[in-house]
This record gives sequence, structure tokens and C-alpha cells, in this order.
Amino acid sequence: MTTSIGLGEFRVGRPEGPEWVMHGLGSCIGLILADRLTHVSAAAHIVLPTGPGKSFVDPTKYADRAVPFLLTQMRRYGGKRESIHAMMAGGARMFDVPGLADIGQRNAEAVRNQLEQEGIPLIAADVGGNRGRTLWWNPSTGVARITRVGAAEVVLTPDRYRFDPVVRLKAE
Amino acid sequence: MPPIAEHEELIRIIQAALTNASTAFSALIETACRPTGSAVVMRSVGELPNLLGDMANPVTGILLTVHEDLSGFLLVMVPGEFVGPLAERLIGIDCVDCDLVDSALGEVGNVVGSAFLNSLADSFGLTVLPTPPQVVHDMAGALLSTLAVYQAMEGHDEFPVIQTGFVSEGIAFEAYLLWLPGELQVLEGRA
Repeated sequence: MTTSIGLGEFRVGRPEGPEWVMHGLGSCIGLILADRLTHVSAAAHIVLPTGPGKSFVDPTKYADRAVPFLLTQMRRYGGKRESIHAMMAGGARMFDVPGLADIGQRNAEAVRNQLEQEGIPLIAADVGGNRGRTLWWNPSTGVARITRVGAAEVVLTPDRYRFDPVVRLKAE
Repeated sequence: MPPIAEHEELIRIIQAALTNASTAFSALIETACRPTGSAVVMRSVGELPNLLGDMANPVTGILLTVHEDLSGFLLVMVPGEFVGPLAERLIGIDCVDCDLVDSALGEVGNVVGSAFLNSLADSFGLTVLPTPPQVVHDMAGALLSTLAVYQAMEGHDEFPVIQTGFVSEGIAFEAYLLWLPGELQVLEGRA
């Protein structure tokens, strides 16, 4: 049982329920924000670096809107900005097609820039290359992992950033 | 999404082109193939990655980018379990991700894609110029989502997709052809 997050979609929640998954990340970015103290987390399946005009429709479809939007959502669940960290995966170059070839790289750069602007540390990233990825997030343990075709599973989250069941502030 | 039913003549011509592609496929693998589940439908950016079922399924994708009078992407996809048997059928080698096999699979894209595109070009009096094929072995969702991203970049939340499956009557085998035209209205105006 998993919760699938499709293109442009997002999830925000407390440390409970099934694992979240972003299948088949090619040039898209799978972004995870996690609060190591309240264990509130959020994830977005980002499609493009920037959105059109000033529209706020589909905020998690675009890198330049996803990060502030997710932070706002996490705050509603009790997340504290100062204890939130980020992880991301994707941004691959699946095809050498003009216009498409560098979109993955641009997506990754846009997410990095947004995280920097918001002061959120990026603690792990697996981006670029030319292979697709599936990103899994366990909202209870705080562990993200990556699977690929024909390759061993990789744990993205450094050990010291896993959720500590002893240290969990009550989300207000 | 409902089929694009208001252009009956266009759909008839596209169906004929898909049948032409199937005939070319049959000749290439020397066994009878038939198109199945052919459709001309509008898809959203979010729907495309799921088009062939589980996004995590390994596939081989053969991509042609099409230029000139008709533009767009033509993608032939072979589910992972059928790649080895197809390679064996084509060149007598059962090996995934080998240069020789990739070359043979690229030729599948060339032959099948060209049969489809030439049929359309002939019917409408258009010129088409496909690029050499790119062969990629990866998960279905990663290939399809990248084409969905291109549509999103172009500002298309919904776009037409021409799709069909090929099933063989002689050997256990299936493959899919998807065409994402850059501008279907070029054909709509001529049908």
C-alpha cells in the first residue's frame, strides 16, 4: 500500500500512513521536505522550473512556487521552518531532444535556488544522469530511498537525518 | 478522455497509417502482427506517464523526433520482457542494452515509425523528416513523463495522442506506438 504522487501533485502530512512514492521521475524532480523535530513532511512532483505569469494554479508543478507553497502547508500541520531539511531526486536527461535535453538540469537548479532563498538546507540529492528514478518516502521513519531499473536500491537520507522516535515535538 | 470523434476522415486516415505500421512490423519480425486498442484521444500531462500501465515497468523506448510539415514525437515502446525475444528474432542475439541490439531496435523504430509517418505524409501531401532513432532502456513512467514535460513546456495541459498496441499471432510479443503530434490541426485542415 503506497500513496502515489503524480506529475504536479503534492502531499503533506504527519508521521503516519503508507509510504509516499513518485514513480518514473525522468526530467521531473521529486522534492521532499521534512521537519526532524515535529516529523511533519511534504513532497512534490515538480515538472517545470518556472510557472507562467503570476498564476498560482498547480503551485507544485513549478519549482519556483513549490518550495514556498510546501513550507506554508507544513506550517499548517505544525512544521517549524528552522528544523526542516530537503532532499531531492530526478532531473535526468532521458532523451537528446532540443528543448528537452536540459530541462532536468534546469529543474534541479531551480529547486536548489528556491531552497537557498528560503534558507532550507538540502541534505541529499540524486539528480542528473540519463536514467529514470522512483523516489519513495516513509513519513513515519523519515527515510527516502530511490529505485531504478536494473540497479540496487539507494537510501537517500543520511542516517543522522532519519526521524528519531524519541525526539518528536508535539505538532500544534 | 473522449476520443476525438469530430474528425472521422482524419481518424480513418490515422487508423490506416497504424495498420501500415503494423504491416511493416510484421515484415520485420517475419510473423503476423496486428494493431490493437488503436485510439486518437486527448490526454492530460498527468495522464501520459500512466498510459501503458505501471510507470515502474521496464521498457525499451525508441524515439523519433519529427520535423518539417508534421512535427511531434513518435515513440515505439517494447515492454522489458519482450525485448530479448524481439532481439533474438531480429538478429539472433538475446541481450538487453548491447550496442548491436540497440542498433536493431533503432531500426524497428525507423521501419515502424516511417511506415506510419509516410502513410500520413502520402495521404495529406506533406513532407516529414524524422530524426535518427534514440533507444533508451528505462522505466515506462520516466520516458513518458519526459514527453509530458515537453507538452507542459509548450503550455499544453491537454494534447492529442495517437496510440496503438501491436500483438503478434505467432510469438509471445507486444509493443506500442505513440505519436504526439505537434499540431494535429495541420491534418485536421486537410482531412
